[in-house]
Amino acid sequence: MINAKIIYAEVTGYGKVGPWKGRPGQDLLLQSMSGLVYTSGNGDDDPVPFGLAIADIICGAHLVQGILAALIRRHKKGMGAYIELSLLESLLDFQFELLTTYYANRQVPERSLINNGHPLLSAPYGIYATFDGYIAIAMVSIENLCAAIGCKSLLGFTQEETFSKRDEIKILLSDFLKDKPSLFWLIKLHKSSVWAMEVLDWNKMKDHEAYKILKIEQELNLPGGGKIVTTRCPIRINGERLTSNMAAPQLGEHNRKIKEGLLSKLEL
Amino acid sequence: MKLLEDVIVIDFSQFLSGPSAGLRLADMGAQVIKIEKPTTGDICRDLYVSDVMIEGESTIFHAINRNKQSYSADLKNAVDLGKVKQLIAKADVMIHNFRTGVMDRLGLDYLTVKQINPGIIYAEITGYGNEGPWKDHPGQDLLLQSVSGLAWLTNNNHNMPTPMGVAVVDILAGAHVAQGILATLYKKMISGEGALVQVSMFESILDFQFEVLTCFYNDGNQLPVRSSVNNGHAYISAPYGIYKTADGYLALAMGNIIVLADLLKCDGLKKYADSADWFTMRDEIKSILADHLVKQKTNHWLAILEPADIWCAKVMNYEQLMQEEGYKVLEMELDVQTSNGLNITTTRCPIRIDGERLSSHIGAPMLGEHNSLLDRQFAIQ
Repeated sequence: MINAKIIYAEVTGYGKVGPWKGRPGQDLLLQSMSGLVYTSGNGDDDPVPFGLAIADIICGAHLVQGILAALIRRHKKGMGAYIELSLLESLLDFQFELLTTYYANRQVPERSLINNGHPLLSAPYGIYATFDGYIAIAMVSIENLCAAIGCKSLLGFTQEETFSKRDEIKILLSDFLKDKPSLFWLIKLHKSSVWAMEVLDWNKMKDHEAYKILKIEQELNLPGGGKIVTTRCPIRINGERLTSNMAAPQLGEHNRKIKEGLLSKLEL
Repeated sequence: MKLLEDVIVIDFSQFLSGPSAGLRLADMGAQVIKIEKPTTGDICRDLYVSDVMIEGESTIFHAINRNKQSYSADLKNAVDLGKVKQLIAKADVMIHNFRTGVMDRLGLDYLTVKQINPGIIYAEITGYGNEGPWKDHPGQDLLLQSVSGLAWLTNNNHNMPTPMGVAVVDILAGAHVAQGILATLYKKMISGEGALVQVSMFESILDFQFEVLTCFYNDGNQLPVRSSVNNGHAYISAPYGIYKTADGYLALAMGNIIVLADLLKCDGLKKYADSADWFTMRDEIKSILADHLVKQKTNHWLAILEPADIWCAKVMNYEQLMQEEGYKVLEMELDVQTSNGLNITTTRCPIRIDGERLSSHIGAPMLGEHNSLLDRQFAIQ
């Protein structure tokens, strides 16, 4: 009645009906209720939550998608829209590959006993300790892996066994990798085009040319004259990075501006 | 009317990042056409997970590619390439996630495509961007999690770096590229101009860490320290985490330790009256709490905590979740059917529009299934 063309967007925790509608929509709780905490960590570990607010962030991304698509329709047809998201639906969507697999076989996904990278994936997928750090190895056939690193103890496994016997393979592999430094293995793996990288912390990442070249950091000007460093938007448009040095507003900072600008126009 | 009705998307991408963006656009009503290599198609068609196949097909391929069309074309063959260019000429959006240089060699780089279709939204996902020492490295989820510091945020402090067990980098890069596509499509409607939208998985996974990276940048580059026990988030105080009970697990989010001490009758916590200690002494606090919570069943604790509005939940796996009314009322499951009669249950789009769930029952296409249909629709010569 106030604005017929408005795009009205709404986020709830669990939707607006059902027994959970009054529950707090909090990230860790959503992770815990949606099965997500059984995807990370190893088979014998307790449930392991993602160490970031994945439900909040993925739901926010979905909300933006709905709003933008509704703006497109509004431009064509002049209609507004009502966009609804819930953290739970967003987090289920996030697990759509795992859930589709579960619907097909009704087996709760199992994390591998060691070096789990993804409960649905075969050996060697995971992170492995080396003599001086850690390396990640993604999808690679057992044959190519053996050839790249010369691990004879893995030669007895066939490609078909890389899921059913992934614990055995991972145990042998982690034992084989632990005595030599990361770089030693990475040179061999990259020479054979095996998908592998070193596991970095933020300090090592920050020193790397591949990070610096992104220019992902931007400075914001704080109202008191100070500065704060944060990340910019990850999307580039027409080759340009999207940056802005505008900090978060102070409470009510723009009341007057809005009143003088937008509202005065409406009153006219 | 669907939000993206009449929007035509030509999608060259494979695996998950680009195709997950295409899926969302299809959900909202766009016509999404996968351009696939003859004989093999999207590599994901043969990516079997967990040894699960549905009548010989990959479950994840069907989840990612439902409600799309398939046009098979050999981009190295001049005739096929010519046809694809005719499709591009009539499209609103194209998406690819090839490695740097591949589209240039095929003559499908942005500058060339712009000559065919000046108004196109050209979207690309790379692993690490188009420059720098890692530009030729594969953009693979686990590897991006590993180089970006992400693996140091999950699990307890004594554990190895622990990857998140879902392809979070692919999915976020897909979400970001979908946002860029939709925003530039909107701008195109106003100005008529096309755009180049670029997302790298590396930037997407750094964006995902924006809160914690902002702490790191501004506090003298202190690395995150996961709590030694019951870690939920490296930057959050006790009790935040998951706790074992006598018959399962209980999640506890942010909460007042003294209030919890009273409610749970956990006397050991009473000495932590200063809320500053809830962060600095979180390992101690969590250990006391863990020893206490394991003595009773989950429902015992929930019956105490929920009426007191403490943020808590029972930890569930898929099997337990699906027995819950709270799951059932969402009607999240979607049955789709392929043209050859294969039925697959997957999840629907999480976005509801004007009170409606978005649920198309069209399954993933067979390779090249829509070549002749599309040749007619677009009068391809």
